[in-house]
Amino acid sequence: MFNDCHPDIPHGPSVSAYDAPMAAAPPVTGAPAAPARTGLLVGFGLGAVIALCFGAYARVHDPSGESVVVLFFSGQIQLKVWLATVAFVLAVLQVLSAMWMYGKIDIGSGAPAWLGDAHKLMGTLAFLFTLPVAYHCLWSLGYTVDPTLDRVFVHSLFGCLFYGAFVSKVLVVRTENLPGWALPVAGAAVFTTLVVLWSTSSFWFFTTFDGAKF
Amino acid sequence: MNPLKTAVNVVQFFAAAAALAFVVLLFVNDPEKPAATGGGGAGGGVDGAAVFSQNCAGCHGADGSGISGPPLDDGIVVTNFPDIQDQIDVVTNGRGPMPSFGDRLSAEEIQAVVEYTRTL
Repeated sequence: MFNDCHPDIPHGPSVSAYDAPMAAAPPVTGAPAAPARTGLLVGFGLGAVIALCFGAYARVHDPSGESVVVLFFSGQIQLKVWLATVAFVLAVLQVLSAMWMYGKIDIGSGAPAWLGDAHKLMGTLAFLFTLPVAYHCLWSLGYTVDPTLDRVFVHSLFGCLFYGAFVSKVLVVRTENLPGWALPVAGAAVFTTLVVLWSTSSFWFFTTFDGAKF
Repeated sequence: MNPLKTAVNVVQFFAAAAALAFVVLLFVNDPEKPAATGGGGAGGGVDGAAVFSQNCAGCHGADGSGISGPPLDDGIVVTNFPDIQDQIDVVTNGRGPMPSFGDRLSAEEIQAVVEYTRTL
């Protein structure tokens, strides 16, 4: 998910999920071919490096503690929880659109031709909405390892993992000859980390404070 | 060209630019340095509420009721820090997840914001 695919399922030889048309191609079975192995290694490896870099920055950087931008919201946190919620909703829609394209949900006469582009658009927008949120978290708050602050610690950890998973997904989806498990795993990693992030921030905020106020 | 495909390309371009700006800003956007002080002491001329709103509300909430940082309202800080100097030391030097503000706020600003939190 996210900025990714035009997923034709399953993925055929020499066709990346990103560029492939909606028509189905034969699945790749057995061990992945060499380009896929390299692509997967680069994708998941670079994702791991990105996650580590985010964590390192958040730990080493002296948190500023300052607000960044509030726009028309009543405060910095309100802006963040709403932007994260928009990203979360877009991510849910993206998963549903992927399931539709993959034939996992049956809506009428199959996935329309425009669904792949809509899927990409939702993912890219979701990513855009997360950036101001992550910027304030990293620059202003930093990485919390205080064991008494479970929610904040989990949020910090998954915040770093999210962008690593995102980078992996963007790279993996462009890999040719993908094994059948690769794209669902990469997409699920992005979605799962975002769900944890949203649950430990926006959902917590909505249920702990004044509800859904702007 | 398919308008939806065009929209995807435009948004992806902005996403790439925003991601680049995101990384650059993480490193070039230094927190504001403290203004020159006249020797510290009471934060008489400084608006403690404004300093709180700009520097503390992000974690402690606009009304001090706490968000990712602990609540400061209902006299909690006065209870936890009977001596105001202890609270000033925490704000200045940080403690645990609480960042230090000694290099970002002047002594007057810290004094003012600490006094303000003791009224919440």
